[in-house]
Amino acid sequence: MKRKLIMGILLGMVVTLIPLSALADDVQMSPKALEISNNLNCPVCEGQSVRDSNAQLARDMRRIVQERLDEGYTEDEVYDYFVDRYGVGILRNPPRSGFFLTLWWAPVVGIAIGALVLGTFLTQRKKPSTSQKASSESSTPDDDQSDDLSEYEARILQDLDDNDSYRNERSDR
Amino acid sequence: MAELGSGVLIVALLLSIYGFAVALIGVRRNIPELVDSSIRATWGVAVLVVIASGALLYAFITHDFSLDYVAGRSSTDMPMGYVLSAFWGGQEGSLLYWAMVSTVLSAIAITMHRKRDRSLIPYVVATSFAINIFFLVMLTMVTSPFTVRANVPDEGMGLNPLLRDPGMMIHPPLLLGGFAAFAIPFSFAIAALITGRLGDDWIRAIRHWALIAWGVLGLGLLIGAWWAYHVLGWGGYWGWDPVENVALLPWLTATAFIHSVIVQERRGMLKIWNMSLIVASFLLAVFATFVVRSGLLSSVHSFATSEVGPWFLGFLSILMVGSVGLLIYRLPGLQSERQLESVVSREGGFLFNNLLFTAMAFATFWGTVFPIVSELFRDTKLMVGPPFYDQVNGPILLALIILMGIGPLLAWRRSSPTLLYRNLLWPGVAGVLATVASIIMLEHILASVAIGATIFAVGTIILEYFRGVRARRRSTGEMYPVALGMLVRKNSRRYGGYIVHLSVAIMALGVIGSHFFQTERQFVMEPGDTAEIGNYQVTFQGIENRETADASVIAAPVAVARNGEYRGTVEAYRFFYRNFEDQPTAEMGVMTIGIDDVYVVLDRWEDSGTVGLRVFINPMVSWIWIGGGVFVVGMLTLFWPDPKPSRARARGPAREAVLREA
Repeated sequence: MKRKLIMGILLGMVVTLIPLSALADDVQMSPKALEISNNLNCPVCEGQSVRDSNAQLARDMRRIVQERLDEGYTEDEVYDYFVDRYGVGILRNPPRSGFFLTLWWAPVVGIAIGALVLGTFLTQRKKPSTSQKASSESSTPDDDQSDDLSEYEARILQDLDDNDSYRNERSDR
Repeated sequence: MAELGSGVLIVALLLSIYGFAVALIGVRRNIPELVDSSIRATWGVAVLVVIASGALLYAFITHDFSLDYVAGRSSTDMPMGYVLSAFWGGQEGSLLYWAMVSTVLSAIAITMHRKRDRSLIPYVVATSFAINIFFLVMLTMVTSPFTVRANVPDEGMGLNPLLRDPGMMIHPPLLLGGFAAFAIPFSFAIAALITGRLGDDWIRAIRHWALIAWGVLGLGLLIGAWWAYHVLGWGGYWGWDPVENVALLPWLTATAFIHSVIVQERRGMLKIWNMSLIVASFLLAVFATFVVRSGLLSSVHSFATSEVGPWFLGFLSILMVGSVGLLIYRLPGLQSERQLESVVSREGGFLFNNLLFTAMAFATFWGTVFPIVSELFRDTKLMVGPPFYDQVNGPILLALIILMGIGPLLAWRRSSPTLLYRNLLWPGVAGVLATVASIIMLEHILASVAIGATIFAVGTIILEYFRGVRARRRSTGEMYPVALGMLVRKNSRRYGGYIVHLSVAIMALGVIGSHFFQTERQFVMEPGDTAEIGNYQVTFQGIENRETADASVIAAPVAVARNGEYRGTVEAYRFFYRNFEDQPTAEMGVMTIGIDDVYVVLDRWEDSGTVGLRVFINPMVSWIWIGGGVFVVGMLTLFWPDPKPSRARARGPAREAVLREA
């Protein structure tokens, strides 16, 4: 128990020392530098940006971002600097080139295929046989061809009645 | 406790295997007694798993550190609330919790539907037992929460510091509970596919269950967002992190389902589609559990990496092959009874809604698994960050908001354009006015368009309520407030749905405000220093060191003033929990002033009293939590028991006979 206590005190001392030494090499960041570091992945963390991470590497990277900006580098040059060293995966906003094109285009292709499937579904349904059409018309009476708003209200009432009867059927079963 | 816990889990596993076999034999050989026995077995399993959970809970309460799981996740100095929530703080416990929710809900659902859906029930029982068997095998053989330590420590390790937050007491059980609840609609869907009884029975049976799973999961996601906002300190509530994404996926497909199921009920269409959505929702729920627990994708939320990955992958493959195979086999039976008559119709609106929700699910899935894809083809894990999701899902969300304004005004079957235009007139005018006003005031076109779209959707909801109340008042002569109450009461599904729509609109305004108008500054401050951010002045008042039972706390009180007028003091914290000194956690100081959140992050500090603070002004974030409250109200309205039928309905004798048969 006593050993634990001593260990705990020692650990506590180490911990309070860490921020001390860390503060020395951390810098005040401009809004631009904050924005840039939020667009960089912290290479040693799980899913955090350089801005939000407390890792030492992220601190160093924040400092480099600020220094480069102070030296007059443009935003793109700062990004290039990190891409040269860590690869393109460092960017949180993936570029629209090379292999990353598959990332950007897949959702578009997905939506296009979905729309296509939907389109064929719609056009297929465009040639109803007369008998089916007749039966469907008799089964759902909430047809509104009229332009009158009172017709619309009648439809709401009709909907409400439908709900009631639907419920009655359910509770009867 | 360890013997009791692992003992009952083994018995539960054996009973599940028995129930699975007996249900199938009973229905194949036509022996109703066997089917009844399997139904009783679902209760047996549920009770046994509840006892096992109780045993684990008891071990936590009594600090029984002979259990590896208890010793690794709790300690005597932790507040009791966190000791209890350590139950789902790790893989073993969360799988046990999953199994408990799914077995108890299955038993309830099966008992409720055993009379009405007699022909489906044996297969529902078998399917839910098959799911249980997987989880019970995991819990007994692979990753048991009741593993005993050889030498018992005096004190436990304590819970992962990130989980020591009130949000984490509610978020995981809701999220996992939502996942587990999808097992019920899935079991009914599989039963319908196996029996070929693909009519309206199974859809009617699962509608409420799908809604429960969807609502609970939605609430879990919201509380997760609230937790991230207070604890993770990036100034936001949703980071498009892999673990967040995979939890969102089943919710997206389930949202599509609860809309498109209305089309099937009313018009007998979209049967294949609805079946696929339910199957997909459950598969994605299992996938989400798998991703969170396997460490497959790196994430701020991966609390465990373990050996269960291959098991889940196997389970997922079996589920996928089985259900897709069944779907293809039954395709001929799933033809629509009716045809779409016009694209401009309620059906068309729902179809478009489904296209958007599945597109969003697909884009999110793709972005989430892209690191794995890139590793396969490119040797490097290319991470996909929030900008991708903002740019892809942002437009989809905007389209969904606009559709939310149009959809409710469309008539079934075919909308006459003139009537539609007249209905859209007032919401449209409101939306355009809001857009113009926002452009003038905010000078941000994209945000203004989004605000206009949201106001348009709200206009439609108000219009629908107004028309409904007026129609009801005309026919019953009730006063307006009474008519409003009765309208919601008697048509809870329709008007409860609109309350949920309203909550989405409120949250949308919160997201728009915080996404487009966030301000962030970083300051290095001495005690007494004042800094300026926007209209706000923040004064740092000096570091305070505090000790709690389980942690040492560093607090940075900051006085907040708006335009020079003092509005209160917030404290940003850093926590150093015992045994986790190398993983300090944080709690942000958040103060809501009007629509703005002043959000203070304590980055670093030194003994001289100098600190590094990051301060955000997050406009409108509080509206997301308000919207969450409205969402709960909407859910309760949807679930409120139906009123007694106001009038008996006359039936023909033939119809009576049919109903009695059923």
